[in-house]
Amino acid sequence: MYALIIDDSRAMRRILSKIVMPLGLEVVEAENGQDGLDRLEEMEPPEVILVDWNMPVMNGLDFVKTVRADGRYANQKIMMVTTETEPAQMVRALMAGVDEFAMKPFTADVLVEKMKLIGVRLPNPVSSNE
Amino acid sequence: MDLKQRNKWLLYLNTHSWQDHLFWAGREIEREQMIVDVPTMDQIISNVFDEMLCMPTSPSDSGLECSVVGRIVASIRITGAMEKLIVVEAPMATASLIGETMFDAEHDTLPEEEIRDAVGEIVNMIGGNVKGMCEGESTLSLPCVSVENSELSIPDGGEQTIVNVAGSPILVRWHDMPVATV
Amino acid sequence: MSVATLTPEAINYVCTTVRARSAIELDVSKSYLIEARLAPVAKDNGFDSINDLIQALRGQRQLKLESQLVEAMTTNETSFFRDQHPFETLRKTLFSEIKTRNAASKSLNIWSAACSTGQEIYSIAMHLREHFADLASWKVQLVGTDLSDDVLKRAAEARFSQIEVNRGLPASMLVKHFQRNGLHWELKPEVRNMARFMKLNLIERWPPLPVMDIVFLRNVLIYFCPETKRAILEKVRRVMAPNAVLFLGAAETTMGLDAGFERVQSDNSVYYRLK
Repeated sequence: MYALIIDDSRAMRRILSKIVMPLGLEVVEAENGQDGLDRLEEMEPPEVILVDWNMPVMNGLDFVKTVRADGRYANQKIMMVTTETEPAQMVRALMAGVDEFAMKPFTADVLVEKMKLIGVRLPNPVSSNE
Repeated sequence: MDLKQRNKWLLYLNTHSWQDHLFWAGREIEREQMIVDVPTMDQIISNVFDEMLCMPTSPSDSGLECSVVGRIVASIRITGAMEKLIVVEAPMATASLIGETMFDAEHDTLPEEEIRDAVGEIVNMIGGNVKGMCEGESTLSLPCVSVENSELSIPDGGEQTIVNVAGSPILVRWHDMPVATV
Repeated sequence: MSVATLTPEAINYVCTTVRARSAIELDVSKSYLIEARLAPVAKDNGFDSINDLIQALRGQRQLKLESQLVEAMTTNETSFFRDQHPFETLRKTLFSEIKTRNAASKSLNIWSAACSTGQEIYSIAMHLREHFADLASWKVQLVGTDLSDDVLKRAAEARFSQIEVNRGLPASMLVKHFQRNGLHWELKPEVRNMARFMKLNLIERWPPLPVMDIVFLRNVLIYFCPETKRAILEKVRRVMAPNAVLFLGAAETTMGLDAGFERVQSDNSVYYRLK
């Protein structure tokens, strides 16, 4: 089981990996939407995709639309993790088919809770509450 | 959200005419130009460093040395309903510290490329939060990061704040009008 | 502000004062928590350090300052839809059960005891709007109580930071029920106006409360000694309607404390029904 992390910033990919890996998921990284699509073609579907919005080559919104248009990924869990924080942008992402939306900056709790919210299976689900 | 729920959502959105809502929200914002003051910017900076990176921030009373050479300068542009340029200037020591925290790296082991990436992501987060304050439609550019060795010179007409991040200063400045050169 | 390690006397003073005023036992090993919570109180009142603040309090009793200290130390951590499971139980079973049981009176009363900044009671409000059909024709009272004036004020304002709305709140609910105002997110009036807030210290005399159908008392009892837990549960029981239910935190139970409740396991959550 793995998480596909798509973000053009290596620093951000590292931060996301540091949160996801202790939960028992492996991590595959991609640096833009197109790169993410290439990774998906090569591998089994991931447990969850964490995708940024603003990226060169192909942005996260176009990535989500492309993935959702492909019947193989109808039930793929996708969470957008982005600096876009306007309600209008959130609506746009939800309409494109993301399951959840986390705003940067975030804390580890935020991501863990939101992954649980959309039913991501976590081999080591630490309680984020206590 | 499964497909059924998602479709329910689309139905909700279609019947509740989001477009109208956004249109009127946009109108209102046009009337009162969004002001980003220093306390607001300090709060955004604190959210990034204190909350996310667990790097404590405090107001800086010493300022940023004008003769600092080897600064990482990261800028990002907001265009559309809001027109702003946001610049983060970090002396190499601060930038390294931020990079080491984000990459979870040992002291003095991080290549400059990674440090630049880290500061770029900082300005990206700050820019995104500023853009989010305005409901009208705006676009955020990709961050532009460089290493500057010239003396620090602040263009006129902008605002700035200097904050200590884990004891090391960074300067954040923002300008209402887009400027041609950084 | 200078950072200095708290003296053992200072820690002892904080624990004693908090125990006397709220019956809450602080964990002395968590002195970092005391520092984190009290630093803003010291700063806001013009003290250079927490030790200075405590020294001033010990020198001369100052009730207002003492209250601020107790409030800062006893404020609950909270988030929207915390733990998820109780909300699933509301949606799947309890809402429809109450609709049948209270069909004649068409009234529903829910209490969030120790409501902190309001995330729990507002989660319930949003949940009702999503999953309780015919809500408009019912008389619904959502009551949040806390011992801290400061958090009650914030709860009533219903303004939350980005970090707060990021936590636990589904994005679909965020865009539906909140509007952005600068850096903050404000609950829309139709949700905000569903809840009201009042001051209530669980170990002191209570103001009059409506008869409750559902009570949330989560992660509060853990702070009290068994006798106080018993006394609080008994008082809670007296404001509950027949068959009403009580939600406690995951680490809490009525077992061995109060025989008036029956433990019910429902999916992934546990609640306690009045016998």
